Amino acid sequence: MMGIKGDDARRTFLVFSLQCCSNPLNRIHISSEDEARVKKLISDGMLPEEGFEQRFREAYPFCSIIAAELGKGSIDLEVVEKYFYYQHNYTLDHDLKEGLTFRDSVDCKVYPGRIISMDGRSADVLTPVGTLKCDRQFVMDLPKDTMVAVHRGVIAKQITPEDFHRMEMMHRLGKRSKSKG
Amino acid sequence: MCQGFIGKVKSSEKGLLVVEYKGKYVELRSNLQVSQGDYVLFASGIALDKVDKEEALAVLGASK
Repeated sequence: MMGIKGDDARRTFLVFSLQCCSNPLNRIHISSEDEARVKKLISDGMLPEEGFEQRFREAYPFCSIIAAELGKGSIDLEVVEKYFYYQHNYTLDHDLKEGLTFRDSVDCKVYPGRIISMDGRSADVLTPVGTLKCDRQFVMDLPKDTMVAVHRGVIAKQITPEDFHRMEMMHRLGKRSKSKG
Repeated sequence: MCQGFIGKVKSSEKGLLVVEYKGKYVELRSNLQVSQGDYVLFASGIALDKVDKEEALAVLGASK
């Protein structure tokens, strides 16, 4: 199986995926203890053992497919960002349109946002769907006004202004195509 | 896509799978080596990975 290349790519994959440990298929491979252990490692700036990412049975194969389509022999940061910033929400919308949903399909989306205030481990983030109260355990050093990506109530990471605007645009386009039915 | 769906393969031909998911037939693009009766994880019209029968039944049973 294809591996994830580089600490940045591994960290990015994990800060988005760790919110999905409790999904039934992932939970078979990732215990609650492992989930807590790896969240602590990431918060402390470390990474878990090589190959841990392969236990995420949904995101990992999807990233492998994107890497193969791009002609890459491994999953790198570009692939991970393509998946979580763009493909992830497209997939959710596609499946919702086909009548395929799971418990929290809508809450699962990734949003671009801007940190507007912080209080201990939480932060208010202004996103296209309003202000979200988010956990900032993975990004405690980021100051107010930083552009970030949010996934399931957690600030995953800082994003560039280019990605922020592109993600915001994708969100608007998605909303428009839905309102046109 | 935090959570894919698990379907049972009904037919497999030239990169195209038909799987059954909750009584519905779904067409998927696929590069997987699978046969009729196997279980696959899918999302967005793509077969992502083969899933062991025991895991598939555990997940499908839990989602009923």
